[in-house]
Amino acid sequence: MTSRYYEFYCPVKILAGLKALEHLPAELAERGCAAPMVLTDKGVRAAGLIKHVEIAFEEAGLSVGPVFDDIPPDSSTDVVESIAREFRERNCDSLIAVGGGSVLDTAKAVNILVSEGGEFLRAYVGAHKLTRPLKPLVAIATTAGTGSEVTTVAVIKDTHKQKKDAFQSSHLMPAVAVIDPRMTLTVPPVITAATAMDALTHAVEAFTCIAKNPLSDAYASAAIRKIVTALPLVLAEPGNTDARLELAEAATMAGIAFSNSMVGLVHAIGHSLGAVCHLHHGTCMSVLLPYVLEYNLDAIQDDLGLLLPFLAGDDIAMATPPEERAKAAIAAIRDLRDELFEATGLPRSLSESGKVEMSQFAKIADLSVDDGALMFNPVEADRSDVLSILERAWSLTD
Amino acid sequence: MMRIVGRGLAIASRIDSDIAYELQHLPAEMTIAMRVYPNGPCCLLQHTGSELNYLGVRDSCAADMEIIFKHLQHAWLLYTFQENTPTAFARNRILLDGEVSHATVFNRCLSRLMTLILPRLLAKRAVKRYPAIPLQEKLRLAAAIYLRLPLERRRPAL
Repeated sequence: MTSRYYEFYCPVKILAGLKALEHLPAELAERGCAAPMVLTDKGVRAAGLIKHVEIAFEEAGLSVGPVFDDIPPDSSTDVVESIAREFRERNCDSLIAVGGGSVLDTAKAVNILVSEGGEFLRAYVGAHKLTRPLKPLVAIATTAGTGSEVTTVAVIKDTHKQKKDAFQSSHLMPAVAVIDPRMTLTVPPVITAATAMDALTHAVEAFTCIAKNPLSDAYASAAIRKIVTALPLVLAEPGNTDARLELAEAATMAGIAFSNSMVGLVHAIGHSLGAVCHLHHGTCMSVLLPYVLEYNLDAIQDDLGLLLPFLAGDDIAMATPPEERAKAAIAAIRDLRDELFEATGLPRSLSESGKVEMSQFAKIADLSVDDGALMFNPVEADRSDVLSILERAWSLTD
Repeated sequence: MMRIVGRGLAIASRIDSDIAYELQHLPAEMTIAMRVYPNGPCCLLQHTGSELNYLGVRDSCAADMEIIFKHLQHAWLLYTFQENTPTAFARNRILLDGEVSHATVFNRCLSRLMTLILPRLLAKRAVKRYPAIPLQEKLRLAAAIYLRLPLERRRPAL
């Protein structure tokens, strides 16, 4: 009898497309909420994106609640705990997060405290610590990459321990995710490229790591095709809302995929690289992805080969012998990486990023082997394996 | 089998430098449980700061980190070396209640124990990658673990 078993879960209601934001008041009313708190960061506010949310509420004869716009790029337990206090003082009943990964993760963490109770986030670190459904959270992503709007995870820096803590529970999933192309229109080209490579990595790892399942495979492969098609269009025409929507949908689909099949070694190293060197997560993914796929190649040959038509197109896949498709898939990812460097300056190697020192490799390797994502990588990796991947990713070797 | 794994881990933590090194990454006095949901047997261990103490197999227990098998058969698959821990996690057979980074450390300790006490063919099914380990070292450590197993007693919690 087969020992195969999988679970797939995504209860997030997704509002996607034209005027998606305008549906927000009705969604909150349906959930009995009248006093949402808006969380965002200074950059999003300065870009005028909160205005879209405010207008959506004004058109419904409502006003948005208090807006907290001081979430830093690397959010911390102190920030979360102070927002939770304000949420309680203002008698809010729901959360609207408008931003990238840091804002969305902060909102999830605030939701833990205001729903479960308590002053300190530390009590909820880890997996399956939450015992009940949380307050309604609406996630409005302003980058197309993290997929945080549909995932069960939040990562927050512990201010006192200076390390990142992961929180995981199905209750952390937002009630509603909004994909409105207006919200990603102002993202600069290099961030568009980096976040898209983050989404691509989610999809590729979801498809090639050991927790893959048929449903996550469907989301992952479709997301890959959308990314490789839409990303060049978005970079050529940043105001193309159709292409922006395609890219944002792909990021959400990749998020659904990896939330159900997890990610692997690219993320294990990427999380550590980000923590030690403060390198943008998408850049970490873009640099590391080809090298980790090569490291995993023997174990993922068949699965990676299946991704070639999605990465390079049906014609190229048909013309490539089956035994060469996995390597051709890696080559297609390298080609995309090089095109992004030409178009946006997105670094192709760790040295090119200008933020990483080789002397930091040992620390990165130590953190990587303790990262939960490593558990789901198809090939075991110890400290020396991680070091050798980092050395290969240091400068362009291909 | 839970008793053998629990006692084996405690013994190995005192005689194997690899496991001792891994344990440095866990907080002192941390308790670790492997149990079957909802009321199955529960194997309890405690990190003393330098080694693992075997606290026994009980009917129920609570710990700082709990590795919870959702069904008895899932524990059977793991303890009979038909499936390794990462695969059990990937197939949603296990719930983790605790810090993920601690679970990765504990998984490495468990893999090291399997590598030491099982014949290579069996160990290759129980771990993701069978490491290069000199036969002499494997035999010496395996013998030490097996010889001490009957003598390993439950210890009180710190």
